[in-house]
Amino acid sequence: MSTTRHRALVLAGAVLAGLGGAREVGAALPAPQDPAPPARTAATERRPIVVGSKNFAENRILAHVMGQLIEARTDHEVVVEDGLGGTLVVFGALRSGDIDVYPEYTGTGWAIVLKEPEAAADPLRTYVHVAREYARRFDVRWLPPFGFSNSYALAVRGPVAEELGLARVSDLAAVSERLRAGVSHEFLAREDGWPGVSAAYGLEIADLRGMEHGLAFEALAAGEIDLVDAWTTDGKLLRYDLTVLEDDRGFWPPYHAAPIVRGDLLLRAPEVEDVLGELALRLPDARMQALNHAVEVDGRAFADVAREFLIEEGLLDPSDAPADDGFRAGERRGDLLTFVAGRLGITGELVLEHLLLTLVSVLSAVVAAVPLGVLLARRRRLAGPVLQVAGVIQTIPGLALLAFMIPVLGLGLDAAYAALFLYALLPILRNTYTGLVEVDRDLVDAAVGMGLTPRQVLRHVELPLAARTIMAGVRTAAVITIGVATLAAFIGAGGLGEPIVTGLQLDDTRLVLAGALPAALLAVLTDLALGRAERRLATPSRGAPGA
Amino acid sequence: MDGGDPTAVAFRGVRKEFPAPDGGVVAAVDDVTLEVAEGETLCLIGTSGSGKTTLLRMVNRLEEPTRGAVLVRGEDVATHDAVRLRRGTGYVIQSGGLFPHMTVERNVGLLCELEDWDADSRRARVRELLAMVHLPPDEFAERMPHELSGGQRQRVGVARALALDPPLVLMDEPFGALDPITRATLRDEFAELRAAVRKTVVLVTHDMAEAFALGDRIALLDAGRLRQVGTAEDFRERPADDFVARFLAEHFA
Ligand SMILES: Nc1ncnc2c1ncn2[C@@H]1O[C@H](COP(=O)(O)OP(=O)(O)OP(=O)(O)O)[C@@H](O)[C@H]1O
Ligand SMILES: [Mg+2]
Repeated sequence: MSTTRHRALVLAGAVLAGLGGAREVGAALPAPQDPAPPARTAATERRPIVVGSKNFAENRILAHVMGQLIEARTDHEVVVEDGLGGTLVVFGALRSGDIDVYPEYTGTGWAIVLKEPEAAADPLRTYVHVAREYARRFDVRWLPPFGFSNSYALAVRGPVAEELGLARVSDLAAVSERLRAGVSHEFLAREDGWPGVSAAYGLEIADLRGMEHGLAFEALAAGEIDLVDAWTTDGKLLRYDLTVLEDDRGFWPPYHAAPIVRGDLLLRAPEVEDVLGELALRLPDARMQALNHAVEVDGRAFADVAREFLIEEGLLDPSDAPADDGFRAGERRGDLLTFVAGRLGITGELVLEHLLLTLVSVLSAVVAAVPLGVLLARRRRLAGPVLQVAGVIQTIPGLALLAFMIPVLGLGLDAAYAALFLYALLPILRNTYTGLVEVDRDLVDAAVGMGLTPRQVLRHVELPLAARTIMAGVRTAAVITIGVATLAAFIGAGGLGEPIVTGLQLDDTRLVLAGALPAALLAVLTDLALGRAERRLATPSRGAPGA
Repeated sequence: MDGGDPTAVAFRGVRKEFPAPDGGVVAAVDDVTLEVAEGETLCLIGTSGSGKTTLLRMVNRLEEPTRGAVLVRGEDVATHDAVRLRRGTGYVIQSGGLFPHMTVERNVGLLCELEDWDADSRRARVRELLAMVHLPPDEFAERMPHELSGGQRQRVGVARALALDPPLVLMDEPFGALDPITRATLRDEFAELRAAVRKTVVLVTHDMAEAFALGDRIALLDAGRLRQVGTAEDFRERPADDFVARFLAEHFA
């Protein structure tokens, strides 16, 4: 174990050991004092280091903090691509190599990416677990955490907290009936929101309203309500006289933020680990609140807020030139040719992912739809209603169908397979049914009259004669699925949609094309190949069957 | 009744109703009682829509009688296993019914294949049958149905019906939709075939001359009812009623 790695774990332990008390521990630990700037290493690679982020202020600030620090301390060019999208999009971008590093939260890695079945509880265990699993499964490294944990919290109006002596959530139980609460609708509905926390702490608030988050803070300032839900690093907490209650029973999972880095980046730019290590513990909850406040409430630029923070911390020389155009989102350097060449490997992987996604969905649709189509051709009264239902599914927009799958199957591959399967179903089902119904009745009659069993009629006469129509359905399904599968990236299922989604977020046309063109090409090739197969079926075959 | 020959097929007061478009029913076959002796060729004749096909299809259970019973070799077909009954009953349908996705060889040999014959005996049987219907096997075995003329298709249909050497063959206008010369040729070949393979044949036609040439006996249907059963001579010499006389006059004009 490298000494840096060792230090990271010790730091992590120190930060996380105190039940979410990052603030206290962070403040108690002396921050590394003015470390000597590491020797600048010669940039052996021309490829810039790309720092990504999710699409909300805190994460974007952190991306700029990391980007500027790396830019200042190493010889590498840095590009910050902030606001890429949700967790799975950004993580997908990290895995595919579109970005090299981004800020992630332990609880998110635990629940969303690793999909651990039970809730994360102990902060240290959570960090160690995600760090180990990411390294093992994705070759992605968790660096020392920034210090804060961004999780749900309950906050009480200052005077009320003082009057009733409220400091921890458990203090609420005795007085909860006297309080008026206004919480966000999402908080009211989520299992890890009001339903969960009120059960865990035995809270019974008679006057409980769901309201828009911004309004709740206004209502609180006006003295109309006493209790709101918040994020522990919410910038608005600074603006109002509020007491954030400590989650003393550890109901909310820890969400400690830390830089996560591709393993191969640490090979080509090992100094990045030390550079980012300097950010460890620099950002306790209150500090993060302040930075969020500067952006969200004061409307300041991410890059400026990040730069000021780094200068205040003594990590950046104020005389250094401010972030140059490399920090403007979406501006990648290098010409198109280099861009394309640099992406060949990734594109190949994405094409394979995409094909697999399509293949599995379409094949399972064939397995389900062909027998169902046979059943409908036998029981035609069922055909109308069943085809109608399949038709309705087909009209649901792709994204909506994917969204419907999430509550049932969660994010990722399963949901994508299910949605794509449903899309592929109708064309195959309809064509199987039509193909069978359109088989010349006289031929079926001849077969039955000759003494073929119903199964033999199906196998030797009906299916072969309907094969072309069925194949046309499979072809339609495959082409549709290749198209819809690009949407699967929105829910983290990978494939050629990944660069498209990322490119859309970044307004980077090249990246969009890097996904869209191969996807279109794939669709055309599939169409051609299956079209050939279809025509082969159309020409009656001389081949005698295997005896 | 023919001498002491056992009965191959018997219709006992058979009636078949179909739902009519007006919500009522039409009797396609109405109270038909008729026997076909073993080894006999019976021609069913009548105008279009008189119920010939329907009567034939009740023999191999493609239709179930509404009333009455159809007996094959003395047993009600309703008690036969439908698949076994059909494999023992050759069937040539009105429109030919060759499977367009199979070669001639496979069309003819399909039942042998389903009866698990080995490839060699299957092949030998197909060649024998094709030769029997005057289609040189080397030339025709590998063809697809769409590569055949109408007459060749009908022959393949006949060969296919004979594949398992069934004792009973049902033929629904096997020579329909052909030009008169081909028709005459096929009819002669059929007569020749009949002499070679002793089978019970029920043959539907609406050509009186064909019925007279091929049938040991002839049954005339009209609107589902049996108007007369007898030999060609019976019909010529002793038409049962005015309708039969008129039918003969019209069809020999
Ligand atoms: N499945 C059915 N449903 C309803 N009516 C039917 C059905 N099959 C036959 N019919 C009717 O029964 C009557 C007899 O039909 P069938 O096919 O037996 O006549 P056919 O003598 O074979 O005529 P053709 O010489 O035109 O083949 C016709 O009126 C026909 O419309
Ligand atoms: Mg008919």
